[in-house]
Amino acid sequence: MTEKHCIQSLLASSTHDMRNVLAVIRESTGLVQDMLRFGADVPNKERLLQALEEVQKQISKGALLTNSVDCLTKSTAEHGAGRCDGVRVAQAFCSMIARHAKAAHICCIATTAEQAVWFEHDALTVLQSLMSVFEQCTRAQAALCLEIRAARHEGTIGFYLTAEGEAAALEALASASGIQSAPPPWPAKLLPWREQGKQRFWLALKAYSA
Amino acid sequence: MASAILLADDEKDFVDTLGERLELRGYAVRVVYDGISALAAAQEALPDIAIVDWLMPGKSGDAVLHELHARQPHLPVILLTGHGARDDHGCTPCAEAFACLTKPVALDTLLEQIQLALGGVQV
Repeated sequence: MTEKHCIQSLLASSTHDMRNVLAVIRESTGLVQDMLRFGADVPNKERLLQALEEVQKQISKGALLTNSVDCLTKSTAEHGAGRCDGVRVAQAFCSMIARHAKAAHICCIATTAEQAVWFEHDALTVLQSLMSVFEQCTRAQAALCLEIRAARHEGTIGFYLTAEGEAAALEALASASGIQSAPPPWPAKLLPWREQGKQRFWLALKAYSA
Repeated sequence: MASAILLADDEKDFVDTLGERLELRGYAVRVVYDGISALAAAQEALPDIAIVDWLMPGKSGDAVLHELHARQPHLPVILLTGHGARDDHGCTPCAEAFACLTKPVALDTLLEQIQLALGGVQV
């Protein structure tokens, strides 16, 4: 068993249990909400309901985060080694990096897509490439909004990145073509161009041409 | 007459509370904690709908679903799972299920599926 398989197996088990934990909190909170709505007459009832609604919102956020972590476990376990949906990986990355991104004044948004874009590599490895880009963004120490979209482009697979923000951050990203911190088996290549006044990049995962 | 729901999940805290909430909304709920008990309960009194956890000790949710359908092919069965309702292909773990919902499921979502499964019948 490799370290990766070990991590994925433990994450799969943990996310399953985390969903059960969230489910119990959701139903218990919901039961109190029901009791308040269906008749219990208590002081500050509206404030109590408002607070319980906030608990439900946080449960939904927790569930979303759990789904993102679960994405790491599915690519290998359910689709065979080395296959993942780039759309889901981009969404998972944005969800999981949100806390660090906020601290660095970076906003990461994954564009939604109806169809999967299959990458011939597992999610953990693809995430490492996105992480390399994110680290490059943080080095610029400037506010930046990064839109990420999994796509196919001229026979390669990868991510379209659209960056908006301070010039220093955009320049730092533009100068980072060929990110060397990306893991083998590729060096991820970040190719810059401008379109409609916006700075765009193509993060090519070149080793895995579609 | 209230629609009868068979609710099977080994997470006792979860399923007891969910059962209570469904009863508050007028459903007649029978709660069991494993797959074998679910089949026994369905044998005693056939429900209008079954809501079954996918992964349970003893007999899994999809095995329960198959056996329920062997007895009553049109019985709507909703699978609940902590494993993720859809994989990367957008498929449900069991195509025979009326719906497959990931925990923690919002009650409104579950109620909507129950009503759809019962053909729009309101309790």
